[in-house]
Amino acid sequence: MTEKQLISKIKKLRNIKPDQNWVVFTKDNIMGKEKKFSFSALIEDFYKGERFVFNHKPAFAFLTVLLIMVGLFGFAQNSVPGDSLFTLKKITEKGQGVLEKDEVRRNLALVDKRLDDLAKIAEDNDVNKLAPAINEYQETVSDVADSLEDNPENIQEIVGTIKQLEEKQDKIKALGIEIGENEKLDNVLGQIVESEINDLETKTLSEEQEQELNQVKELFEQEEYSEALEKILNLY
Amino acid sequence: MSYLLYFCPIKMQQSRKIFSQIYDAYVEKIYRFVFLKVNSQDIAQDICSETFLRAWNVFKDENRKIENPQAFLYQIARNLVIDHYREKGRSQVVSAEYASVIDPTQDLEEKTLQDSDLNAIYSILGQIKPEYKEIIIMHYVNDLSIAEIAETLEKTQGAVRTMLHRALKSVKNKIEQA
Repeated sequence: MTEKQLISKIKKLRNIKPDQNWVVFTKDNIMGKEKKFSFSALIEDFYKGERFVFNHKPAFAFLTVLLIMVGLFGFAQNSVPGDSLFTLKKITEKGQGVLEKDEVRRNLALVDKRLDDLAKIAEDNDVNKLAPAINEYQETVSDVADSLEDNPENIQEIVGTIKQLEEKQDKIKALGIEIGENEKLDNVLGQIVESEINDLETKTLSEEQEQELNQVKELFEQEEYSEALEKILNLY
Repeated sequence: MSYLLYFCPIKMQQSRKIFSQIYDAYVEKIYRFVFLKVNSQDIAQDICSETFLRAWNVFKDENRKIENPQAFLYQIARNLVIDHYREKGRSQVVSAEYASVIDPTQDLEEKTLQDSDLNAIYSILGQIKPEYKEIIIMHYVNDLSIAEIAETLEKTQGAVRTMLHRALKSVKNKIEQA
């Protein structure tokens, strides 16, 4: 056998070929399905929403925004006055307050929350947030005063509200925070006491009641309005 | 994923296109090279797939450059075949009886005519030194030039020529002995 014949025989091994299905399958497996790039395909993809999640998938977009909002509002619940998320917390509180029809109770609940904020600030010793927290507290107390001014009829409830407020204020003061007096609330209470005194003076009172009324007048003169209101409550 | 597609598609698409061409050009040769070394269709397919997968992983990496894809593919395939034998402890000398070397898509008549020649040469190749077998497959079956073989095997062209001459002589001797 010549060398040429031998080489010719060897070259017959070229008939060994891989299975064509395997060739195609392997190529796809290795590189993934080839996606030809073209601007028309790109525009088509934009329509299908494959390029930007938010563009053409409103359900996803809505869900994502909703999740972000829920997350933000959730985080905001731990915020205190002076924090950037505190505005969100106030919005949530106002939303929750809609369910409470009694304006005085609603505002009193907010005062309660502001006092909690103050307590938290005192615990954390976060001095920078003290001033905005006291301002927020005074604002809510003013709101309570406004709602009392609008609904001065129920003396029993007013007395209860003021009692609760004073108790909470005492707790905060015990933590070493000076929150000051709310002039607006004092004025409203003063007006209510004055109005009640005038009303009682027109009524026929027993001797004992007369003495009580005099004590109320003294307390009014001393600007001890909450105590005066308590005394008035005893006269009814 | 969508964002990635949008921001870096052109470069990736180019890489795919080029590697796709490389795959089409060499898949048959690499498969044949591996098959003749391992004598099993399944193992040849596995090693061949792994060869192209490794090459693609290097190819798509922007920081690495493949100067000669053909030589690179042969080098990966050779190393994988070596690993295969090392792992399994198998001998490269396998009887032709255990493997069919005929393309199943060929006509029956042609297949019969070639069968004896093919199996004879396949059997002889199984009896010579693995390095001789390798160089014969590269040069006469897969049409690699002396220079290309030299680059793949990292030898001089003179050494390749000498080895090829000895390999052919070895085959001739085996045929004469048979």
